[in-house]
Amino acid sequence: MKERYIKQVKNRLLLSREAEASVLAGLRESFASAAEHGEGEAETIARLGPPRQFADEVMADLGGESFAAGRRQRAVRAAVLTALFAATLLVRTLVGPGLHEQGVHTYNLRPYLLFVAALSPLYYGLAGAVILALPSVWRDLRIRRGEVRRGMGLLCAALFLLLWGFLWIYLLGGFPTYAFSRAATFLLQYPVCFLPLGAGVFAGLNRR
Amino acid sequence: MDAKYIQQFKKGSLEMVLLCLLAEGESYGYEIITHLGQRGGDIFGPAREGTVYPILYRLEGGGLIQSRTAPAAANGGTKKYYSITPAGRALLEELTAYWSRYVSCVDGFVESAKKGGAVK
Repeated sequence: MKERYIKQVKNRLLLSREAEASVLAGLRESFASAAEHGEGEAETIARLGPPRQFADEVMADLGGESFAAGRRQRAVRAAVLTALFAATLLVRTLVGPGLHEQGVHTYNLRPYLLFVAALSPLYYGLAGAVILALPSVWRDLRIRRGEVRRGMGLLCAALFLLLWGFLWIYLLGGFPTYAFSRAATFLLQYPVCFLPLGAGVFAGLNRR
Repeated sequence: MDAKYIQQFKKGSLEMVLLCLLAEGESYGYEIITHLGQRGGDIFGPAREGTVYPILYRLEGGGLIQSRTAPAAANGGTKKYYSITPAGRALLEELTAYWSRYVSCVDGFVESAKKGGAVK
């Protein structure tokens, strides 16, 4: 009962790791101390209030601070991801074209390659950073609005990372593109297509 | 009285109250909450972990209190004992001095209103 309560509180908290660890340690200690004083778990939970209320009280106090503290963390993460993406492009340049450019692909995408060629690696990196930052931005907005649903944030992040993972593998020439439909091939071919896709998911999830 | 007014009063004074409690001696979370409830429950309402732990976290982050972990006697776990730091004590002195002036000022308004018959 106690662990379930703590887990429910944890799921509703969106704080820095340090703040979250401190609050949860305090909560565990409260249960232990209450037991020392002869208070049962059910009584303690009744005193603490519903998990949501407990988490809301904590977030009302520490939520804003954590949001500000997390800004630098998010900027660093975006920079690291951009660097990784740029490194992938570099690898691709060094190892030569992927399988799709060696005639393995089914669909003729040649006209579009002109468009791709016009885009500099910096543009790809920027697009990558924007897309990867979207889940964080979405989560931050939810914190600001007091709607904290970590599960959805993680799901959204996982979706983007999955799509991005496909793209990376494709850029390295790991996928024979005939395994995909024309639409999927197009999406994989042009990172820029992820921007409206990401914006759509972002907008959809942000809707009340 | 509407709970939101009590919340406003609590918000402004609870940090100072916690510093006062810890200035009296080292204490741990449950004990702090119990003391708050026993000594100020009528005014502050029931002390809650969700309110107290974030404040303790902030005070500790600000270097106003410090903590040490010690084994709990009964259950084999640990307890975090909080104590006030010199910086916390210095701030508490400033806060209490300000509080005295604050109370005196507010009392002046209240007394004036009472004299004028605006409130009983």
